[in-house]
Amino acid sequence: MIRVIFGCSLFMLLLTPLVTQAAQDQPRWTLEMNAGLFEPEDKNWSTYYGSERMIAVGGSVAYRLLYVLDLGMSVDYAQDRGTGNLPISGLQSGRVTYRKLPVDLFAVLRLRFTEGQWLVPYAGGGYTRFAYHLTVSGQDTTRGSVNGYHARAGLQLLLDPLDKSAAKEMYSSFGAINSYLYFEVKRSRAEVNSAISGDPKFQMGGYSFKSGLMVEFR
Amino acid sequence: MKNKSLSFLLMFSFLFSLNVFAEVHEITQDDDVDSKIANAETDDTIRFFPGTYSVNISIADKNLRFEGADTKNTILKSLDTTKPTITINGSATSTVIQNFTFLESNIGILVADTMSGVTISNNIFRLGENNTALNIGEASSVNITNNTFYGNLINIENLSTNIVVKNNIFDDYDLLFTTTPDAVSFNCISGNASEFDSNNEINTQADFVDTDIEVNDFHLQKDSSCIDKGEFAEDFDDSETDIGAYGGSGYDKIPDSLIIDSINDDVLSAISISWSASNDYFVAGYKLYYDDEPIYSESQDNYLTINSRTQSLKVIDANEALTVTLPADLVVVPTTPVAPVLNPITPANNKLSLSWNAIGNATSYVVHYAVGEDTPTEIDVGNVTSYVISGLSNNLVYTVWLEAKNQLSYYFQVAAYIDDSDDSEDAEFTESYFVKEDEKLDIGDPVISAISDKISAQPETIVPYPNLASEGCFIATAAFGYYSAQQVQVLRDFRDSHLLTNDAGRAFVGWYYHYGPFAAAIINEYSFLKPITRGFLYPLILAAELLEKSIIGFFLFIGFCFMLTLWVINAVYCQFRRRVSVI
Repeated sequence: MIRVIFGCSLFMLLLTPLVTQAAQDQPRWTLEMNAGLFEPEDKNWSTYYGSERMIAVGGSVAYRLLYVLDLGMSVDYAQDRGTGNLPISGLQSGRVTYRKLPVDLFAVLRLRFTEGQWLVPYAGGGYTRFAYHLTVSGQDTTRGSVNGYHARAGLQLLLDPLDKSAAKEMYSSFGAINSYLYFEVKRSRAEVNSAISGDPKFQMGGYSFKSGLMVEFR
Repeated sequence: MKNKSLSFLLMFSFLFSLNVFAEVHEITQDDDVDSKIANAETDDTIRFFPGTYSVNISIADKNLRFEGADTKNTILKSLDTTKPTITINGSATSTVIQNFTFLESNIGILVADTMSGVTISNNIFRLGENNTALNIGEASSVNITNNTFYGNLINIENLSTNIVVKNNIFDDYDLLFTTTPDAVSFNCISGNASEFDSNNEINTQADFVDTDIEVNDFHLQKDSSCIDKGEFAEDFDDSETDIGAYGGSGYDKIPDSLIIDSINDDVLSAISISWSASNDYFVAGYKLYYDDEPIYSESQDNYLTINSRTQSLKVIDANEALTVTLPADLVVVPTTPVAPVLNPITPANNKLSLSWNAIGNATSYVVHYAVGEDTPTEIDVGNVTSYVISGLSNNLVYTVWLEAKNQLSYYFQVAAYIDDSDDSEDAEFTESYFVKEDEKLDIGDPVISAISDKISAQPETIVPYPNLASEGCFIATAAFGYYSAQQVQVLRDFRDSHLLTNDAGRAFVGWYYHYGPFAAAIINEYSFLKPITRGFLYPLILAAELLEKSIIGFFLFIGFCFMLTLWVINAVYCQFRRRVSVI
């Protein structure tokens, strides 16, 4: 964790010259909405849930602290339905619904050199609080939350030059200065205790592959 | 050639003028009435099968004939009770409304101003003591014949006097008409309506078959004063027209349903079935329907012909008799079913899921299960091929087996019929509808198959994957040592069933989730606190368990705790006073 924070800090220092390019009227706020797949970092997942991935949706809000640095918060939601275990019979049985709601506090560095830049690569990371909810049909519900962290990297594509009239419409209707389509890979990590003491911890994190729309406001 | 074409054209025009292309649109309770009416062409018939229809029908752009299949059982109510059930206006002249029972609406039928040729016949209007049966607008001509008006505030609220009012029964009303129509004759009018005596009116109460008006059976009793006293066409029994909804040519010819009074099966070769006579004087006889399969199904309320009923059932025409003895060659010995094969059992939390193959002549299956050598529990699960045994204890091994059972049963229905003298295959339906529950007779004892293989299985708690630690019940978990302790489970169930279902409970759970972990940490740190905490928790656990299982036990327990608390306070107070007095 310390290494991640140290690495991020070093990267920020290297990009300090870019900070000076910040214009007075630059957009400050960023809203994102995204959807994609979350792949748990667990080799047994598909045995119980049928697939190695589940659908995830999310959104975030971020504030441009410096020209290349955003601080923000994001919320994701992922859900999967599968079966449980009958430990004595050794059978899979029942209906289990797994829900996961990670809340991220993050810093992101965006390699932005000019305001109208078409392609903007970015990377960042931060703290994650994973909330989880596990329901067995007809039985008790398990719920809890755990601390973790994440790293993310992606590429955002400016949409405004592709359809200038739509961009103007977005600006006049919603005050949106720039609109981006973005693709992102996120890796998260968090270990949760098993209900049975002594059993290995469960790795709640994994890889997210998401795409979404990002809109910047002043 | 030219003459032929002309003849064809003339014939086509003639047929068209007769409207031979008019269609009958059938409506059941499941249909969208408005769309059926919208799809109908002018002069078509809309035929409603028996049922209760909540509607506000408006007919404005075409002539239609609305016809109920069975007056008593084809009920029209107003969907929006502030609006008429049926409104006739616009160009919907010559509309016919026949064989319905109108209930629960401010106005049953509204005929707008300047409508002509509307016919309202063979209906029952029982709208209620604050409501109006018919509202006739100005300058409209309406033919109101052979209807029964009962229990309305106003029978006919009319601005027009160009109304023919004949052969109707008016009973239990506040106001007969608002303006006296030009032609009022041959009606049965109860109450003080002597001004119509000169027009062949009968100033008397009609005697209906069923004295319970809520049943809506307004057939006339045999000795009713309103029988054979009407005008116009003869009844189908060739007598003079009866007055009321069940007289004249539009009578629906469907007697009221009958029920079987008794089945005598003392001697299996001479089983006899009895019923009471119908009071409906048109009833000419009775038929007994029977089968070794259930008879009644909802689709049978939609019969159109006698033939469609008889083709699948055994029937005995009893004529006027009220008892029938079944044929002596009736099958009374059931065949023994083969043993079913029980499939592998799927365990679940406190349950075992069973499935097996269907046996052709089995009428039901009996599931047996037992723990070890205990007395087995038997459950007759009906004619199904799967069953879940619930309420079992996890981690006990149950032995399960199965038997197929064949219980020979006969099902009976009795129907009254009127003599329509038409015995063709598509003869009009003139029998009473079946009642919704067959009379059933089990013949002899059931025969049981050999038992299936015995299979042992064990219900278990389903462990989710991943099996994660849960927050909540921190203190109880700390006090009892582990999360899945039965006592902790009781508190979790109480939380889910009684706390998380209301705002106050959720607020308490939120507060507990905030502070509970700190208390749990202290209990874990100082293990001597665990038995003390358990001591405090046990009454709560007992109360929570009693609340789930016995509400009386719960209140007794709370009362006991309350009394105990009072006793302790009193004891402490007495001790205190004693010491003070000593000092």
